Amino acid sequence: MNNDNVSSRLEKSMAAMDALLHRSVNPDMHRRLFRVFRREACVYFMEGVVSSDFLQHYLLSPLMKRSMEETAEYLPQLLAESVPLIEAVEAERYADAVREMMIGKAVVFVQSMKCAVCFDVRMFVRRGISPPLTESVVNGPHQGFNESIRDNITMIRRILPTPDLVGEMITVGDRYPTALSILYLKGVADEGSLERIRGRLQCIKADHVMSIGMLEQLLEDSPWSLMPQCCLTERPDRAASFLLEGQIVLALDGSPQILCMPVSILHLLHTPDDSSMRWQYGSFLRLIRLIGAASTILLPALFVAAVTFHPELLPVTLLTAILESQAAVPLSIPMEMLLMLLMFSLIGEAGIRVPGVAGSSLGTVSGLILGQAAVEAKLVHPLLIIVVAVASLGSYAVPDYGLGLACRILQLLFLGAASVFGLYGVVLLLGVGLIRLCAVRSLGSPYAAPLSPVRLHNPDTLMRFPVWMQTVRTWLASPEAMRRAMGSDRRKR
Amino acid sequence: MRTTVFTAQERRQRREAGDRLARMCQIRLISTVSMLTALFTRVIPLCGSAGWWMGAVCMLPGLATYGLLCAAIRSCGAKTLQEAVLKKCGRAGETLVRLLLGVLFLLEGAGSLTALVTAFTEGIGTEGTQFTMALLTLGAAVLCLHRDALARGIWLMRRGMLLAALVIAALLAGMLRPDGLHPVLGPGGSALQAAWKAGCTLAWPLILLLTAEPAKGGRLRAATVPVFFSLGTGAALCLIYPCEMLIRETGLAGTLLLPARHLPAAAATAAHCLGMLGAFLSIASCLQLGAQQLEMRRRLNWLPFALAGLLALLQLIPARRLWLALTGIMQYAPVLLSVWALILVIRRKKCAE
Repeated sequence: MNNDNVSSRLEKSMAAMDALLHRSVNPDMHRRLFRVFRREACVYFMEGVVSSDFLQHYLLSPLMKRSMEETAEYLPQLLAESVPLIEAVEAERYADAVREMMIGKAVVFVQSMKCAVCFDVRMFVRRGISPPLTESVVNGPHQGFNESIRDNITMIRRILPTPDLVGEMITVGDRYPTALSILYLKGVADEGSLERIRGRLQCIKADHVMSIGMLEQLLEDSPWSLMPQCCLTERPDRAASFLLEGQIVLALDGSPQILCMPVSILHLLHTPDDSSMRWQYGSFLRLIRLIGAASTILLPALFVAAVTFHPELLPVTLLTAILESQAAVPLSIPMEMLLMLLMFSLIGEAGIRVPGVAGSSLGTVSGLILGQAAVEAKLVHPLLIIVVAVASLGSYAVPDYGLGLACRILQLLFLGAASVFGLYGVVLLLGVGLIRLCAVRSLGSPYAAPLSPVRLHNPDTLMRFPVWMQTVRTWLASPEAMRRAMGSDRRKR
Repeated sequence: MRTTVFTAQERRQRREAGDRLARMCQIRLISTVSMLTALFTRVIPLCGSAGWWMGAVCMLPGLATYGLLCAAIRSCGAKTLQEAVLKKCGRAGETLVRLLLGVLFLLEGAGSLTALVTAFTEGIGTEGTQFTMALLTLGAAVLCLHRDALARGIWLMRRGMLLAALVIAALLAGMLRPDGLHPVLGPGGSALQAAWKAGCTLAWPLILLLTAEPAKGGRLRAATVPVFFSLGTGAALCLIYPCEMLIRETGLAGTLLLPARHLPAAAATAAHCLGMLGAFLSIASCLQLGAQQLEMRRRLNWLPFALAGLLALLQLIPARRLWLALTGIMQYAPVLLSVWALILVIRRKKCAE
């Protein structure tokens, strides 16, 4: 990139800009010559990211009207004062001018002016606000983020209308930068966590950060751990609730999800409407979700262990039925289980890739047909299909997609342990897994907290108790802001 | 309703206290596993139905030494045994105590590993050999070696393990027979003498609790769980099985698996799993804490792995012989350490006075 300062000679500036923008082969990089204050001038802009209305009516038209005026004042300031546009910044170097142009600004060069002035005339093509695709709720708002960082920040600001909500704007990516906003509630977020996240963002050495998922991988503490260490959400209300708990939210331009750090595993098991519902319903649903996650991880392994190594655990009639049907099946039970789990994973993955309604229909139809066919072909026995179906359903009950995938990988590991060592293998792996879970950290905070290590927390962990009992923030907040108002004066009376 | 607001310093202190609690929980697990194994394999097979009170008697010397050492440490104004010895005897004394403690942890680890592997290969009937099972267990234990996570993981699992133990205890309660307590003297006087000789060091693993800073509740509370859990389980065993059955089992695997032998199938499997998990976590903890003692002040990241290798090599010795040797050493190593530490702490204090 050309780091030279902007020349006072317009021809030289135009030559430099044309070269930087590769105008000879880049037809959407436009240049328009005009006159202002009795001088030659030109404006550079990129087609598609600027509003032609803004450009014509609020930039070119006012400036051209002053084409014959004489002035001895400071030109950049005069230019900024001549147009009714909100933002006008000076760029001293060509590189800065190009960077501003790339984010949708119009850059004006004037003969004998030793800098360029960049005017905000942005108008990107963007998706409207629509319901979130992966985080549907029964109770609560139905709006999701879109790909525009500005819209996303605005949606959060609408929920938290306070100047304490700070959105530090930076860029990530050395060569092709992307706008990123670090959002937090001043006085509530922990300064230590903030410093840590700023430090990690500064350490990123990447040409370009394409998506929030890529950013997550560049920021996480334990890249070898199976567990997701950040929470991705496409719901503004959930982002706001994270901010209120003292967590930090990162919004990346071009991503319809935001990233929340630090988190614990419990955050990934909670859903946005848990707190919208009465505590009994919320707790019940959390219990169901926990059972779902546990059945995804353990049920196939327990079934294989019980049938293969500990048949005494099963009722005689059930065991007889299994063994009778097993006699006609050519595969061993662990192999059958593996085959069916892989098949169900395949159906799930195919269902996601096939667009629209066809995807869900494909999942249902292929599940039914393949299951039925496999039983009739005596490749598997029916009980095993039930076990696999329950285990697969459980993974969809896990609210976080990343955690759901981690559960499915763990499922295979447990299946392997059960196939070789029975229940003892399962218990051994469970012990190792829980200890490794305690080793994971999210932005320096223990991932298994507040369960282990114990941290100050609300009665809102595995179960959710009434909101009026939730008078402290999470352990992730600043120590000075641990207490919060929650409840009603009516209750005091 | 908790509305207390803590300053950053208070919060740090609370976190440190929490870590101490988890560390103590880890050592309590080692003590419990060690005491239970000793009770099942050394005391009850010899004294039969008299085990319910012989267990308590066998614990007295260990408890007395534990109490004396606690008092000695407190009188020095120290927090741990190592610190007390350092204050009274200087760096050389501390090094020696750490070395002994490290060896003691390793012996406990080797004992738990041998018991676990034998229970598999001879009791439950797994196809793997002693060495391969040991390698597998140690491989898994090495995966758990993390500075904070091991203690925190044990802290996380403690309630689940306790719940499983309570469910099994409830099932055992249905099988209790008060006439199991007779004969009070078990198989007779000579058998009691033999049991006393074999089991008088039953509570000595409690001195391992002195290697960590006491958590909330102090030293007395720390020792409560291992002592009462071991005594309760031993007493339940004596109440369930007739004396003849208790003294019939002499092999390591047989004595270890005896408590769950007549439980319903699911409960027996759960009991085996619980025992295995406890032993496994104890092995990993022994490796970690043993290495911490042996590495003195330098941080040697490779040491736990080297110790794991050493424990694996030990399993090349046939299980019976290894168990006999370990029992012999484990019976007296803690005694030697405790007596020696006690003498050091008290004697130097007298000199200072």
